[in-house]
Amino acid sequence: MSGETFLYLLKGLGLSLVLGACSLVVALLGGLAVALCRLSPRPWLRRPATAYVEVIRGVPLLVLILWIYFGVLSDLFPLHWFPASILAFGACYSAFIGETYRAGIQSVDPGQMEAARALGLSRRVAMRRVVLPQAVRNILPALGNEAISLFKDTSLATVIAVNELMNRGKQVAGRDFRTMETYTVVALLYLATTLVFSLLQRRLERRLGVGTAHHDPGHH
Amino acid sequence: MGPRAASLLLALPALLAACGGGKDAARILVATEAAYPPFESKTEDGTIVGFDVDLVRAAAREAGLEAEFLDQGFDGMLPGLAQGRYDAAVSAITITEERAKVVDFTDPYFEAGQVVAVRADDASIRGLEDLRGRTIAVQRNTTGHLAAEKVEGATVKHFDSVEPAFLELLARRADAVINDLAPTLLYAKEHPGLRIAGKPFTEEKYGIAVRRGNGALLAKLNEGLRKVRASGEYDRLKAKWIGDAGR
Amino acid sequence: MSAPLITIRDITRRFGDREALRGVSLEVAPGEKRVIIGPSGCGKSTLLRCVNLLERPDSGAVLVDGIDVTAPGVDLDRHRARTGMVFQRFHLFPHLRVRENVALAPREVLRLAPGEADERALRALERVGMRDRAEEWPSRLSGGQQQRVAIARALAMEPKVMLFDEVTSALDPELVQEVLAAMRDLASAGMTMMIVTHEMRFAREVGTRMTFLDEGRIVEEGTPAEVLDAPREARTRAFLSKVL
Repeated sequence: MSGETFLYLLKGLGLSLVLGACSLVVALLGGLAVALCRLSPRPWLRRPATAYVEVIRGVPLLVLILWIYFGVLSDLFPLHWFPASILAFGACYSAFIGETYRAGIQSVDPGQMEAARALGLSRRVAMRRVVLPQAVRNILPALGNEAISLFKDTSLATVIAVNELMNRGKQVAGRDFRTMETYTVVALLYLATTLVFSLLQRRLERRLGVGTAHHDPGHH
Repeated sequence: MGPRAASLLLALPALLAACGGGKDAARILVATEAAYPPFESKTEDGTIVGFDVDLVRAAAREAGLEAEFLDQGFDGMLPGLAQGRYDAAVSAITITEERAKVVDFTDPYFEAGQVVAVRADDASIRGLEDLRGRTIAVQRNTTGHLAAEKVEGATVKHFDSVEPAFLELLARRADAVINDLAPTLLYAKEHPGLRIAGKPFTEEKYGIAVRRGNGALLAKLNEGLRKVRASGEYDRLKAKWIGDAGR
Repeated sequence: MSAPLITIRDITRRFGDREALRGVSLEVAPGEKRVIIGPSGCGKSTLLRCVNLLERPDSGAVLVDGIDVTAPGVDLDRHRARTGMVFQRFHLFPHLRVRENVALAPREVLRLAPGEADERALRALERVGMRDRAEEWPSRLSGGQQQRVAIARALAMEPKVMLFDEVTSALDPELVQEVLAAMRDLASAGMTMMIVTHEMRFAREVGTRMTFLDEGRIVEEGTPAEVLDAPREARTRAFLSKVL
């Protein structure tokens, strides 16, 4: 593979990273909203949130992307590929990350919420200062997994001609007739990125003492 | 040597050639991307139909072969052929020098050209020369894609197949589509919101691709094509599928 | 005779088909140390939790400092800020240091400035003898130490009444005394306390009034000496014979 071609693919990786990062931010925030709504005592919050999760989990992300980009609305209100992509990935992963948050929140000892309420903290403040910090710490490994999954799924944006890594890979492979070589390089580029991410995740987990009873860094 | 023995001896090379040609001596597997009417597309029940399909089937029959079709994405078609996944590929494939390095082409069976398609209400584009700095949607790794990449300052969006490229144009996210004349005319007929800007700006010939070195099959298909032309079947098929949209 | 601080009026509470409280009424005067004893499952915890509304009675009323907290539309957060509770399993917040645990509610609920909240926290920790461990993480403390911090955490809100739900039951025996000492200290400072416990010696020493609860009903009431030494009811006697 020529240096020029490799650079071309590398630029695609850059776009994949941008898509992944932006979508992840949306999904982390959206997921929290979904989780809190699912756990809300108010049915008008709980029921739509539950329906949302069920629908998203049942529709393949690929279908979602095509639906958002080429769907009914595109006649009246065609979206630019960037917001369309962020919307699709963000909406999809909000559901999955939301469920991860929910599991994390429910795994926190209910005595924690009780003790917080018994002191006079409102449910909102108790959630924010007592339950969520513990929940997030518990689910950091799972969140890391979701982030990696999301990043790899950005490759689906090729179907709407977003010129990220996968799209460029297909172009190069077909153009140069070197499928094996091209896709090996593409795979390695994805892998290299996720490995770096895993390393950072592991470091963060160690610092926060994930998997131990102790919350203090530097005492291991 | 007696006449019977002589004819057996003469038949031998033909038999051997046929054995080297594919999976089964009488059958050939032909790849096509059934998403490109009028050359190839799928009916509602999944049957692959089109000009290419009928033509190859006829040519194969004349050569004593039976053609079986397989729906494949265009992008991976020629690499797949080079790997031996099928015996031949027909998919409105333009014969180019680059491609001829990797596969062998039969004699040309159709003359086509690339055109620029735009929205009917867009008067700003009259032809290829007006596409500088614009957004062009294409099908990946087609000759239309190559033409689009050569346009100065243009943003090229490449899709897996040609249909989403047209959708992109209609959704006003692209200013033009560069594609072959016949399918574009067909699409424009079905979507009054599109029109063709200017005349075809390339001269291209389609060929049937076979694996490099498969001289026997190549010869058979060429012979079949000659016979199809000679018998008038070619004109009949062209009138049926292409009508006045061809050249 | 001053008005009672807490009035519990004929409350009932059932969980599914199990009746935890079947019409319990009592009054707690300011400064009183009310000890509640009874066999497990008799409803003592539920009774206590009805005072700060962690459980809501199905019927009846609970009045604290003149306010009917079981009435609709009551600001429960505000009410709970004035009642302190200490739990059997401490429930310290593991992601916060000791001082932060104690200062959290003064900051968030009473809206004290960080400096003030910290000062209050340190004072409360001082009272239970845990001031020198203020920067520690809860997981590094023994059970007795954690429970004392839990007491300080409730104290820092300067509640009108402290509720103790079997606070030594989960502790190793040698750690029980330090917690009882802290409670004794609180009692002599004049805090109104409702204490659910099995520690009879402590109950006799610190309690001013004792209630024996069985199967969701008050069976007997009196001073600790009366109930422990001269129980009138057979059921009280039966229970005491098992625990003493």
